[in-house]
Amino acid sequence: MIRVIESFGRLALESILYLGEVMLMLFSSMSYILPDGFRRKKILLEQMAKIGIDSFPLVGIIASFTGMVMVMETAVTLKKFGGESFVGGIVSLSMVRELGPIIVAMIIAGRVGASVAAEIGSMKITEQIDALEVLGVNPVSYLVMPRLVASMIMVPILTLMANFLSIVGGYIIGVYLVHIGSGIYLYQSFEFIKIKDIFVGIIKSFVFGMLIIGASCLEGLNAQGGAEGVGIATTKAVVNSFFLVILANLVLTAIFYFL
Amino acid sequence: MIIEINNLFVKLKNKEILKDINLVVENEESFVILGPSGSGKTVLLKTMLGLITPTSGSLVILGHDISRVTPKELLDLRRKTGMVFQNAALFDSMTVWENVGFSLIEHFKLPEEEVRKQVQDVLSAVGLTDVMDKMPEELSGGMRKRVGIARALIFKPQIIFYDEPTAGLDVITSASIVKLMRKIHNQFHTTDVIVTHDLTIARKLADQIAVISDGRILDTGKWEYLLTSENEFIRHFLNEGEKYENTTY
Repeated sequence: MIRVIESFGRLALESILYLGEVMLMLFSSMSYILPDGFRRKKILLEQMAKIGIDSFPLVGIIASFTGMVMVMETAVTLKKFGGESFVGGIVSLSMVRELGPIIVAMIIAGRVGASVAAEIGSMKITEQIDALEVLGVNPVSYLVMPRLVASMIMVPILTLMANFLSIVGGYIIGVYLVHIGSGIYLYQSFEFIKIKDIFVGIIKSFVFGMLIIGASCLEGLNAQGGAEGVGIATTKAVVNSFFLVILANLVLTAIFYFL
Repeated sequence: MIIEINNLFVKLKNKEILKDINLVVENEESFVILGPSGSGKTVLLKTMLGLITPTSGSLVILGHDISRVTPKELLDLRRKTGMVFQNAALFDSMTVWENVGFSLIEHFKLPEEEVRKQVQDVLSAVGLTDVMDKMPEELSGGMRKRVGIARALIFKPQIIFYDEPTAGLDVITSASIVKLMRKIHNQFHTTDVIVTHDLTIARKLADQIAVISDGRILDTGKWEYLLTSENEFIRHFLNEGEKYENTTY
């Protein structure tokens, strides 16, 4: 029993330490936004395209399909109580507040987080990071800061688009398959969603984007060994990003619940 | 003197890598740090470059104690030094001219034409032409090494650090790189610190050789002196190595 408690304690301590490392990386990176942000605009734009534009098709497809599935599942239950007219509102609200930011965060962690960790990790093991330092360029300013800023801008935008597309997907299924009136569906959707809900979703996605980039860059910069080290860094980046996103979602949901 | 190291200790992950290192490198000297793989050569080099923080001891380069310098002093110091990495460490997302001119673009915001002109000059000095717009993946091992040397030369540094400059190269390319290093040393009057296990480099280029094993400097001196060193490891390492180099298969 003591061993079980010990291992839980160790896991908790390690998680707190890891969170501290990610936070340090993020604060350190943010300190370069004002002095170096403008002159790194080329890298910033490249990263915005990689994170935002390149992820858009996948986010769009998954978000709209999720909206469709949510409408079908919710309609089956609500029909039993004659409440199918509320489907649009319930699905839209849950997408905007909860599922939209989480879906986008998971896609970004898998797609962008893995790529960032692999890219920086391979630079680390081929001494390109050392070369940057020797040439008088801070790797956090050059590699982490543009990616962080790009994710702070693009992840909320992707989330807004995911919300919109999931509502559109839900509308198509709700109106043409479940046979809810078009007006009712749209009225309920907009009636349920308040400005605060959209704001909550954007805040969440902003924080998720930062955590994903922080964890991925940290794993990349800590990569060791050869190709295997890059593989390990990539896996850890994705797994830890998922963990941080879920943890942050719990904390933020609790905060907004009391606000 | 250009570099002075006193009682330097470096510990990484609770393991002592460098133990009581004492070295002096004089101006315009070719100083070779020679030793087998895993002896701590690269850690010593990275400590000299300020990439690894010493656990204790002092490391003075061009009058600055590397563990006490401010970020601005470190940046100034780095403009007076160049580093040639073992596998060149070229940025694989950049062309050759962007790699070589990286520091000029980053620190001086010079116009592209000016950077290209300066890059062309150093590329000519290392014997490369028509590679400006190539990507590192399009270059051979020897060419990559030359681009790495050109990148180190861009600020006309006082000191050039070389990490295993002939590693992974065939005999002929190795010989041409050794020749190039000597040419650069004579042309730019640089102080060279060369970390290697290659006895040919030690024999052909070194003014002074420090033999390192298991994180300790065993002895320092000229090639001829070390061949007859009292230290059995050094005699064995140099003589057996020479026999191996002279073996024909």
